[in-house]
Amino acid sequence: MVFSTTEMEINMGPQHPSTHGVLRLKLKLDGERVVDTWPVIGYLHRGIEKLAESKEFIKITPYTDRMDYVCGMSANLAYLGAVEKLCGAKVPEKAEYIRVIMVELNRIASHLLWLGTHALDLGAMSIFLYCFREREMILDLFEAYCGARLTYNAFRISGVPADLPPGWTDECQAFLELFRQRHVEYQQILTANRIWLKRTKDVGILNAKQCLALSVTGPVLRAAGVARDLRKDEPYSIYDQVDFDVPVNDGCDTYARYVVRMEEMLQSARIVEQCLVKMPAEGPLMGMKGRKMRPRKGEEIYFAIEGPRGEQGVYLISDGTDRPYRCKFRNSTFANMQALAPMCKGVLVADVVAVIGTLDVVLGDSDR
Amino acid sequence: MSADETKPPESDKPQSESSEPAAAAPTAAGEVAKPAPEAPKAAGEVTKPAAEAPKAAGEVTKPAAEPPKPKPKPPDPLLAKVASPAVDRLQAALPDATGEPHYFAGEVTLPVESDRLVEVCTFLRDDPACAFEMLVDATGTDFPEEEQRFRVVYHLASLRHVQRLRLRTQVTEGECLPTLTGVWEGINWFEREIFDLLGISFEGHPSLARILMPDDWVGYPLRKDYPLPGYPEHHLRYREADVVRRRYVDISWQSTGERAAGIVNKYKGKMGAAESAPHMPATPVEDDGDEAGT
Repeated sequence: MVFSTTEMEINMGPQHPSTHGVLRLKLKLDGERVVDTWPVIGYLHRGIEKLAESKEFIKITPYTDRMDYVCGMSANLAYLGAVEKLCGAKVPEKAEYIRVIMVELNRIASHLLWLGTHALDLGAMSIFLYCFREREMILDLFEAYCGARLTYNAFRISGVPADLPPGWTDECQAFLELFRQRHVEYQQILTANRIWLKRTKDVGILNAKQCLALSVTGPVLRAAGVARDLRKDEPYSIYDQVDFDVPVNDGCDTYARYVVRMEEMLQSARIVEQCLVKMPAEGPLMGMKGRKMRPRKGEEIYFAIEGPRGEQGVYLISDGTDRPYRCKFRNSTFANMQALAPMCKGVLVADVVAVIGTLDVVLGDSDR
Repeated sequence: MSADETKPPESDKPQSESSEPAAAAPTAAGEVAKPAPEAPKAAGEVTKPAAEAPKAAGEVTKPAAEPPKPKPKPPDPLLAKVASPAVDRLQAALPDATGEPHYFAGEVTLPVESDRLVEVCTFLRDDPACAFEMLVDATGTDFPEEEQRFRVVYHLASLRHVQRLRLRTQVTEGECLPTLTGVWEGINWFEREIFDLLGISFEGHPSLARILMPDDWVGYPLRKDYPLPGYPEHHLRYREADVVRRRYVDISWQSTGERAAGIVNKYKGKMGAAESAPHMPATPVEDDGDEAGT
């Protein structure tokens, strides 16, 4: 007996718990298998690039928090680094250390959020609560430093506004010590878990060649065996003075990305620990005191840092005034999400959730 | 440190003066050595940071008889030329395809004519000495005053040689650029974004649709003549007319009305006063208490 089959098109999202925001996928299905995927983004488009053209350089910083709201510090650093590069401003050493401490802590927090939600999507409920428990501690540290828990606006052009509060260093040390123990617990729950392996091994394959062709960066690229990390390749800030490894895995699948991100958290903890020791006790925090920026007219620059999701770049064109003529944010989620369609090809509908999770999408980041 | 912090404004100042007639004093020191009453006004006009004003006032007290000798301007470190093997290689292989490279802050910008774009990019990707495997970013900018209105830049990165390159091309309104999806597949969404926000079309693009704005949006928001709050008539359109007329496709085996009725029936009897009076109850205080209890 022959059954007639037809391809079916269904919507996944935009209000779907596993899409981490508002991502809509048009799926073309053949039974339970995905034939084609068409991601629809833009639900969180706020026109930040258009807004930026009407604001002074200093006033754009708070908007950058609101793009990648999981990792606002990285967005701050990428934007401010671009402005400093455009103006040739210098950042004092102590401020650089504070920036790196914050950014790396935020990388841990971002990866914790990813781990919790990714595992939750795949059915592991308890680790979600554990991850949020540790993330809460990092947010407390941020709150003690800059008063904000999500949209930090913690840095200024050519420096940071304040020194670390008294006792902060000890609290941070204590957290890192605790985090190392907790990290072992996460591994005990997931790394050799049979269900976890079944759900992640050989799911969402993306090899190095595809990654490069599709402009995919960050942990997804490193889990395809390419040791690309801007902190090592094009060291900015003080990353050339700290010692850390770039975790690489050539599994190319969802499990490999899990392994890479887990290791990255430990490396970030290592960087923070070194920075706390190496940071000069005294020193200026701001490189310049003037409020007006007057970059050269008609010049353009691109500055990129290694965010938790990949290359986070900012492209600026100046017209000689204190506002950018054009301010373009090259956000990693936007580029990485192009890989969604090739990764979803042929997988089961349930694994689409795993693929979205493994790309670590933040829709505010891609939609701007 | 304070010398460094005033660098950016200072570096801009001689540039703006150079556009004045040659009769004016060529150096910064010469300008400040004008009669004293004018000095504060000038300082305000040039919109220097406040930190610099005392320094300028200090210089005014210098003897005015000192001849304003042309001080050699220190070369701006931002404008220093950087070595770029990829550019040398490209210019040797395709000598007439690109313009003069521009250097700023350690970055190289290479102007390319739009009709040579695919050829240049394919060479940059495939040549082992260049090896720009990845297109990092592509974006456009609107320059309404210029003859060719749009400027599109492509940021390339070579992971093997750890180098970057920016290609820049220009296009007039209504003209197409060739798509680079054949060279780097990942440019697809970046080109869609440029199309969406600036209205530049890419010839040969596999699926040139809007990406960030709604499909039926009118206008291109990143053009400089597009007002920041948008067009008011569009607000109206999205608030009322279209939303009311928009029809939803029924995706279930039941019609929406039936499903809604089913949900109401399911909860009938559990909701107390609410089912008999879906609108506001006559005596809100007592009824509220009843509902909370049941």
